Amino acid sequence: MSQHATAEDLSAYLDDELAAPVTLRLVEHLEECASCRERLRDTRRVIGTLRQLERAVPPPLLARTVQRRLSLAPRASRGLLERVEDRLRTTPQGSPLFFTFFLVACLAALVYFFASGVERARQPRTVLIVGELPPPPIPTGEIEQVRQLDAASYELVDGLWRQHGIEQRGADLRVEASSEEGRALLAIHPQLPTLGDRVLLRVDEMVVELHGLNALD
Amino acid sequence: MEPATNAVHRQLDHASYGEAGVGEVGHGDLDLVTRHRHGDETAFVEVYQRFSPMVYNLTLRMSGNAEDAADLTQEVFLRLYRHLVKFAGRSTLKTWIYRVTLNYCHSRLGRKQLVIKPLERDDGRGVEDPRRGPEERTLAHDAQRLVGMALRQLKPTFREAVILRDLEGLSYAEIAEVLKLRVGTVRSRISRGRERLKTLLEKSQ
Ligand SMILES: [Zn+2]
Repeated sequence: MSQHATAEDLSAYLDDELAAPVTLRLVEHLEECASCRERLRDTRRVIGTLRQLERAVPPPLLARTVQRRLSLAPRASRGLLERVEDRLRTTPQGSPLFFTFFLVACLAALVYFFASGVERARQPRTVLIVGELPPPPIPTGEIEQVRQLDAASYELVDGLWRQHGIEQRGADLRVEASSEEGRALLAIHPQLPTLGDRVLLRVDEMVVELHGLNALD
Repeated sequence: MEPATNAVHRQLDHASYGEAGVGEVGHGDLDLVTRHRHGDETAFVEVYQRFSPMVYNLTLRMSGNAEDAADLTQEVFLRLYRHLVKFAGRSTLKTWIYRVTLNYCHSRLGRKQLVIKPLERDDGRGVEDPRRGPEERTLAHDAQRLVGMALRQLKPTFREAVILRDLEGLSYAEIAEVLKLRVGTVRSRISRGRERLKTLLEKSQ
């Protein structure tokens, strides 16, 4: 009796990803070995089960959230660079014009990078929204708890943590928690786990949701 | 600039209903990227329509819940928007996007020990596909949940290989391309993932 089939061969065989000579040997073996046939059946059953898992449709609101975030985060200085690149492609290499253009383009790119960097720094940061809808309940109850983490103070009202003063509009009041980088900072804040497993921070009408903070290292 | 951007946003709004047709993907990839590179905003709408179901399902299975999947999908598309110009056509756009998605999942989910949440909150199914007829819903809700949970208990390296093969239907060569692994390693991971699932499913019955 030939050797039993490995699990890997059986699995690859079912995917039609086994080399022809190995397949031949395997098929021969399967004819004479009930135990390998059973293992093959089990593997086939697992694959069948996985393939019957339903495919999900992305939530309709997802597209809207992506679109809004795209409008907040325009593509970086790609436009100019790409135009320079295209021009370089169509300019005959080695001509004096090519070098002049290349130098000018480099200078322009440098200035552009610098200027757009300054502009980006001035723009309010992108707000990271995890839970957008339904709109967060406006806390109406009494303040149940207040926590002070560094300079910021958080209030717990109706189960929603709010950062003190965050509802006043104005770019300056968009605290670190509202930016992607800030969220990362916040998420590893050593004291934040004391607020609980799931923290909702209200930023204007939006909610920044931080999950499973206790599980972070 | 502004009107074009608005147009994209209006169209993106309807894009989540788009059919991904993973099988057709590959044709015209570079054309799409060139259009994006030249500022044609409708190119990205096409990218979203074609790939959002794929990205969403992958993130859903990797993270195990719809909320995280939506969040991860958003982030992936923001990255795609910025980095699409770098796509050089050495692979298909499909495998490239799978790769971007998994890399992002690793960076986000890797830092977080996934907590097993209570069953009733976490069935991992997201929104049901209305296009599917009842005859296709062969796995009952409970079975779906059990399989989803078992999948989540796999080590991420096995989980992603099994998902790409059995849920996304990629060939071994495509998976090797996505994960930057040798085909032999892909073969072994798929097999080990399936063996582990076999054990987990037997236990749960
Ligand atoms: Zn045998």
